[in-house]
Amino acid sequence: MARSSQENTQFVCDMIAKMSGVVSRVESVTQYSFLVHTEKFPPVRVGVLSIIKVEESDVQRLLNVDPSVEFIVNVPKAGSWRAAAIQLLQETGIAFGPVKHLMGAISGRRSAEPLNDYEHPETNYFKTILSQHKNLYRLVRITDLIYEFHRKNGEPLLIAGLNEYELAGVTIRAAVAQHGQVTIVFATNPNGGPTAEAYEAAESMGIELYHHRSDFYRRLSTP
Amino acid sequence: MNVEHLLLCLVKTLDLSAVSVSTARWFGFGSFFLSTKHFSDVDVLAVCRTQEDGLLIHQLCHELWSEWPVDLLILTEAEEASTSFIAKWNCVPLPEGIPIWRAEQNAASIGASSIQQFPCSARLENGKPV
Repeated sequence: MARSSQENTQFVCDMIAKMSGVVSRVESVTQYSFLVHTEKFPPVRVGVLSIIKVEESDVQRLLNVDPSVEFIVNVPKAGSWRAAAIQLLQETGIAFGPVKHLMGAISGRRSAEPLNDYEHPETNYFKTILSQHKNLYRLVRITDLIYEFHRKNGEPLLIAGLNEYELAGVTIRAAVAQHGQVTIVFATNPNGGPTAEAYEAAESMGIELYHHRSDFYRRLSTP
Repeated sequence: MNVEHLLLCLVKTLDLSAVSVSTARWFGFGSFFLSTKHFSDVDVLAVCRTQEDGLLIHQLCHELWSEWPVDLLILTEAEEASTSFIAKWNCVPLPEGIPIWRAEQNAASIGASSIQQFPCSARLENGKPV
């Protein structure tokens, strides 16, 4: 039986409440939201979803109940955020991500500023790499994983950034099954890399897989 | 529903016998299994013979674990051998699913004492063991 929205919110509340040394207490606000009281800074208002594919309507439903949330968390780690949902979140200035990202945002907080503008370092790193390329004309986010990279000198490219320490073949196949076909996968974790089977899987699906930034950047310039 | 009940639900939901890929070996790693502090997700590793087995596992688990912050990594035997992932990340073998001791540990860390009364196989309704 699926958990109710109230139970999902309570579940995340309980996880956050265990962040000793950072979180002093949590306070339930609505069936979709709660407040995180921290030792140093003003409380953080968090919205909770538990959906495999987060659509715009899911975000809107939550905002109808509590429009003041700063961060919306989605419980399933394998959950994905669709383009329209991301657009609505960006328009309304709300941060989003899995529980791990919320915890990072709370524990890494260095000022009294609300969390609305928080972006996980992995996401920020990949977005920055794409944004700084000289051949970029326009960047469109398709899901939380995939960007459409419109170029000055060629066809747009669909690019996924995967940050796994060991990027395996099944991970690439599963990402495509969940998020859709891409042109390029860039393995963003500098401390790890793709396995031989990851390269084979990518090639068999017609996907170019890059690990080194210089090779990836060169490809973005190639018409 | 409080956290110890939810952890029992998680134990029940992560019943790996439901994943009918007999050749797979299962492991836990990361903060949920290895640390006594808080955890942000539950890291599970499946090591299987082929990518086809791996995709089947992914499909089954995607459905089963859709309500949990479970981060599932699937490696083939060859990938595990080339990366030494199990040794590198101190992976804990999971012969019969997520061990109940972890749920007990988590419950203890939040001061819950009642969890010992409920066996791993306890059925839950409305968050309470029946």
